[in-house]
Parts: sequence; structure tokens; C-alpha cells
Amino acid sequence: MKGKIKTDIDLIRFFEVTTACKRDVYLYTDNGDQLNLKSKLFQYVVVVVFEESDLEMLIGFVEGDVEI
Amino acid sequence: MGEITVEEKLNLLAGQMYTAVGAGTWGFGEEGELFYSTAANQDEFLNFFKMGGCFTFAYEKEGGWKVPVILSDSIGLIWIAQHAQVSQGEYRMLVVIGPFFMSSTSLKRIEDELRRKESSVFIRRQMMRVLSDVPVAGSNMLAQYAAMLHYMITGEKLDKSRLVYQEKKCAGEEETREINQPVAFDRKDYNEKLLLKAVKEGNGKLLDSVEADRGMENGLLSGSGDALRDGKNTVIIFEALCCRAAIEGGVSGQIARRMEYEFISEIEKCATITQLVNMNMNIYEKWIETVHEYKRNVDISGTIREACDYIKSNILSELSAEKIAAAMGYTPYYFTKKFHKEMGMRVTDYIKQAKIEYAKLLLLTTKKTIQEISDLLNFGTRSYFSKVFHEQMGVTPAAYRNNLNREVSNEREN
Repeated sequence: MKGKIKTDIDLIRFFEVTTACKRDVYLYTDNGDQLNLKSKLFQYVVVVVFEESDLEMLIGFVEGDVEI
Repeated sequence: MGEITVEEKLNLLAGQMYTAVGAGTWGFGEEGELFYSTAANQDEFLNFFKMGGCFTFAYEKEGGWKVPVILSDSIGLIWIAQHAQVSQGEYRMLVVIGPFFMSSTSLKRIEDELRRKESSVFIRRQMMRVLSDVPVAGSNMLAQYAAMLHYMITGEKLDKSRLVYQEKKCAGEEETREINQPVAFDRKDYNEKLLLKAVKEGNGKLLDSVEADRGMENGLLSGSGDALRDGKNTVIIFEALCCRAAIEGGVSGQIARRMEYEFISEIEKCATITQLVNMNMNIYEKWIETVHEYKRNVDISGTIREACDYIKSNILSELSAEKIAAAMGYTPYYFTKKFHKEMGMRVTDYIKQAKIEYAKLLLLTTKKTIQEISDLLNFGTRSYFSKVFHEQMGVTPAAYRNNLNREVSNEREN
């Protein structure tokens, strides 16, 4: 399952949810990055990229088990 | 001219921190709302502060932080925080300075980690651009900034021993990293002689005149690209030196090496830089205490000293006078007489005393139940353990634990 991320998302809440997911949650950028959002470092990366660019991002679950 | 308000002092500090150090200063309200910030990349750093668990930790403190607390997250960002009464004491604000890195290797480690995870050049460049604005400050500099913050808020000089380092692990994954560069032992002249002399002599008072951070104050001794790893390497090297100094101070080699081994295991468990700093200080004090204890017992023969070491080394085993006598190569009769003559107490009483000392440590540093501690120390029954504990300490194990927790809590508040 994949979905596009809204630009006005509450990132803190978003990461709380992705951290609580049982399975890995990935964020895909149109630069070809596949960022595992369970990683704190990648969460920080997402913060930076969100603030700094108009990059389009897609979120996907390996096996989606929660709703955001 | 009227008195300068706390707000004006903080404003001055913020200007100094920004211009001289390149560090941001933040003011947060009672509910965590941001009042002001002088930080570069404010949006990003604010999110980092919140996501890394530091924000929650700072606000969890009942009554607020009356002394500065050093906070850190899983990627090595460090913040200094303290609450301030503003608007003539009507409103409480959390003042935060940061972020900092404790070592320039932190940034390199993050870059390596992103490369290892095959992140695109775009992502790496964006991340590095933001993080390169984070100033680097060693633990001594951080303590100085904390003291400045404390002075601006309270008008009082901060006793460095009152500085609090965040113990609780922040949210963040454990990542295993390989050391991809040889460790560089670029040893600096950092009060090391005095620190080790204090261990060798079992005399902590030697340090009263030294603004030393127990072995970490002049930066880290290795350059693995991972600040936490470098910190651990530095502390482990320092532990080895303390171990040697303790042996020279009279502690038996066997005991000192066992202590060193246990301490290194504890050091390896630290998940953040601030945990490591706390651990380093605690361990250093234990070395001094141990040597001090040995020096007090200077009239005791080598055999009885060895027997005491044997008891402490095997405190979790079934111990008896017969067993210890056999280990020392004596008959039980001769050994017990000799022990009593030199130590002024029976072997069995010494064993009980040593067990209670160990139980105190477990009560303070672990969450083990009274029953578990009783079983671990082979007391037979919980009630017997409590009875012996009460005889020696004047309180039950549970009361002892509660009292200590209360004391620690009060000390931190003050």
C-alpha cells in the first residue's frame, strides 16, 4: 500500500504512529530514496527534507497494518 | 538604573551564545509552546528536540529543572536546559541552549551512516547542510555553558557536581556500526595525573581544586566516526588507567580486574553521551572508594585481605568459613581464629556484612524485588534477609530503597 504525504502533516505525530507500527514503514522520494521510518536518523532526514524542499514523497508499508 | 531582569539577562546570554558559539537559545512556555529562538534552522532543530525525546524529558520533571540538565538524543545532539521564573516570578519558562555535538566525529558518523544506507546525494547534502550549523562543544565547554545559563537564571554560581546528565534513554533505535578507522590515541594532558593520583591514594579530596570531568574533559581519544563509540573508548581507556592506579594503591589485582571488567560492561550498555558521562563519574568515584577502603585496612595481613577479596568476588555463591579456609589453604580452625583476630569479627559476620553491602547496591541500582535479591545472595528466606539487613542498617530493605529514591529525588530538585 502506498500513499502520498500531505505537506501540512504533523511530523511529530506522524513519527509516533510509524514508530508504533509493528512492521517497517518506508518513505519513498522521487530521488529514489527508500527511507525506513523506524530509523530515528531517517526520521530526522525526513524533517530536513520536508523543511527544505518541494520533494514529492510517497509512504508505503511493507505489509500495511495501521491507518494514518 | 533598575535591576536587570531575568529576561534581559537571558537575552544577553542568547546573543553571546549565538555570536560567540553559534548556538541557539530557546524559550518554551508552560505548555511547551515556543516563545523565541535564536537558532539557525529553527524548524528542523525544534523537531529534532521533540523527536529525540529531550523535550519530553525536560518537561517530565515535576517542579521543573532548578539546575541545568544536559540532554542528548540517539544521533548525538546535545541540549542544555533549565527552568526560569520570568515576569517577576509569575511565569515559568524552559530555557534551552542547543543543539551541540560533543565531537566533530558525530557529524561524520551521520554522513557515513547515510552513505552506508545508500541515501541519495540530495538527502546527504540536505542533511549535512543543516547539521553543519551545529556547534561542537566538549563536555567541559557544555558544563561552562550550563553554568552561564544557571547564573543568568538564578544569579548563583553552579557547583559542577550539581549538573544533571540525562540518564533515561531517548527514543531511538540501536544501530550497530563498524569502526572504519583505526583508533587514534592522541592523548592530551588533561589533569590525568591528578585524577589517577586521587585513585591511587583513595582520596577524592584531591579533586576539590580541579575542574575535571573525570577523563573526558578534553575531548575524545579516538576517531571512529561515532561520538558515542569514541566516548566509550575514551572512558574504557580511562578505566584501564584507574584499574592500574587502584592496584598501585593496594587493591588486589584480581579484584581490580573484576571491577574493571564489570565497569566496562556497564559502559558498553550506555545508549547516549549523557548516560556515559554519568556512568564515568560514578565509576570513577567507586575506584576511589575501593582504594580508600583498602587503605583503611592497612594492618591486615595479605592472607586475610585475600580472603576478603575472595568473599567479595564470590558474594553470589554459597560461602562458608570452611570453604574460604580451604581456598586460602588453611584449616578452618586456624583461619577463623586469624580472621577474627585481624578483622575483629567472625568470618560469617563479615560474609553477612559483604552481602548486605551488595544488597544495598542492588536495591539502589536495580529493580530486582526483595525476594530476588534475597535468593541471589543465598539468604535462604526473604524474612531472614530482611532481619539481617535490619540488624545492620536499622531499616528494612524496602524502606532503605524508598528512602534512597526519595533522597535522590530531593537532591535533584534542589
